[in-house]
Amino acid sequence: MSELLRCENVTKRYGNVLALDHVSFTLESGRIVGLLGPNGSGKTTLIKLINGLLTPTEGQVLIEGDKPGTVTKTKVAYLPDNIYLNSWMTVQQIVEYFADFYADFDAARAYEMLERLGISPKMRLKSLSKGNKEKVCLILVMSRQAKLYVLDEPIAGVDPAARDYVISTIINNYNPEATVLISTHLIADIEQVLDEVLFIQAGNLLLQKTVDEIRAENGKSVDELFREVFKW
Amino acid sequence: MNWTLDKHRPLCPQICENLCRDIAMGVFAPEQRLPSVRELAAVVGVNPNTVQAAMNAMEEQGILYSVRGSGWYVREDLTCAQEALSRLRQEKTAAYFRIMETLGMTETETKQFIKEWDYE
Amino acid sequence: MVKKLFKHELAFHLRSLLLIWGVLLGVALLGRGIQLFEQDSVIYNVVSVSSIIVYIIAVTVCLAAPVVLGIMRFYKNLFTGEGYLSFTLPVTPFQHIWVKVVAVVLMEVATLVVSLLSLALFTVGDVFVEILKAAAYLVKEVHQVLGNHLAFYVVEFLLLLLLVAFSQMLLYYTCITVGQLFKKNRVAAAVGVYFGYYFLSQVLGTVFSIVVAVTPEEVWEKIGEFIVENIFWCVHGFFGVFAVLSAGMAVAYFAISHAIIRKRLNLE
Repeated sequence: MSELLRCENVTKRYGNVLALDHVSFTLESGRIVGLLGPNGSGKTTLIKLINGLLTPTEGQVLIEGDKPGTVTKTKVAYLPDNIYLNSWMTVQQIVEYFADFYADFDAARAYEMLERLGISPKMRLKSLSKGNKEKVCLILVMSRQAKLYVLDEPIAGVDPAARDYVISTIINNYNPEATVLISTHLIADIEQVLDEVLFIQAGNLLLQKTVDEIRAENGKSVDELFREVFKW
Repeated sequence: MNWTLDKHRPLCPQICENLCRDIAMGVFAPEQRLPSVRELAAVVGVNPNTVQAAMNAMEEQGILYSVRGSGWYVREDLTCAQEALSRLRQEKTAAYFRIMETLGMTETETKQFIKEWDYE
Repeated sequence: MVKKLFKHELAFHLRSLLLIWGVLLGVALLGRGIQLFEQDSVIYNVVSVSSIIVYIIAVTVCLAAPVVLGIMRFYKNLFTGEGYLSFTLPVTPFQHIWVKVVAVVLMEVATLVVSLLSLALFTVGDVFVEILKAAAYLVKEVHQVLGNHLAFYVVEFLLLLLLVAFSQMLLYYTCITVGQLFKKNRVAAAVGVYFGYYFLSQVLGTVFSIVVAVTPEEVWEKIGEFIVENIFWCVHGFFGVFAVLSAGMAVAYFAISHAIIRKRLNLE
């Protein structure tokens, strides 16, 4: 177990809106971590900061000691919460694109997973259903041998069958040396998979605990604790 | 494999319980290789780290042993697994009596109730 | 990494440009075909004149295409959904901008070549021979006056053109990037930045002409005499000054875009 991700006083302001307020925590390698919070709590902002798509107003994000940059991008696999692929590309072109840029990308594994879903490499992304597009995105990300996987809302807006698919894909491709950070507000579906959770509300980190601590100390499921903490 | 896990309790001991039961009842035979940690995790829908921790705990209890590069095997000697199963049975029965107590039945009354119970 | 980035960049451009080039060559060929049926009729005149107009439109569209594509590509690939992938590739902002601008300029050069080729196709036959003859005559006449300066002028002009192509594209990139500093309506902001910059350069031009107007006439006469005496070298100087100016601006535009992407990237 070694330190993988460190956030120090990370603050992000959009004009007058404070999206993240001095958030500090560290994640070790070899964990599946839930980033839990209601909509608009700052989950996506934090994730974009980890990936260098936003610049912090204050504080810093370090991945194995490096600020987001070309070095960290070879180690972090990121699944955004929207579909970000060029719709005119074929599945094969996008797989080759990933293989070209990420040395840790396993194209054979990606093709195997795609085949199991019945998605042919010759298909164009725009001809796929929304659900299948999302699965293609997940497969691309999980086919990397990254150190940190950051998945932004992978199970929001998909039907229960697809949700099971997403969870089993994550488990099946999980490498015990790596850490997976999953943001979601649908906790009941995913809590069995988590080692550890971060609760975040209105840009503040409320708690960081292992799920077994939560269950043993409170006799509550993570979902129940979540509902208790985020009373509205 | 149809395991129901209670999200209110730590998952690792529950995985141990379920595996012990399956072994003692012969779902997995002595010297049989268990499914890989990843497979088990995917089937049950839990974190592979949790399954790994459960396997390690059961190795300490003398129920499983590991072979490097091959995986987890059930020990020839099932005593430990059977002990674990009978402990489980006792716990479940005790829990049942506690529930019946909350429903207003003493232990004797519950025993009588069971005797007269007509299970369809 | 740069090679792969470049490969994908060219693939993007060629996807549309091959089609556009094909259409241009087709239009040129068709126009030439129509001329084979030359006759003295109203219908022929209407058709042949329209074919010339269509050809001119096609050339214009074709020449504008790489610029338009380049602007769209820069914006879409970096600052929309695609940016989520582009900026999580292990590639530096420097490489992104550099590869993009080089690819566009390369496409502009290729388009120019294709356009010249289409002109050859459109006029193939007697007219083409006439054009070549006229061009050869022109070169000969000009050469008699300019001597060896001519070859240098041509090379200098082409180099200047290339530099201008770079700096112009980088200017568009800078406007788009500066637009990203705004919280909302970032595309409108980019257009605003462009026109603001344009306005500013007009003001500078006006200031310059005022300076010219208030300079005493004797100074201009002296300058004029100097230019007339050294006309050949002054043209070299003119190219040189413009080249340095364009290169300087290109570097400045590049530096601004790069700094913003590196330090102030905030994808929506």
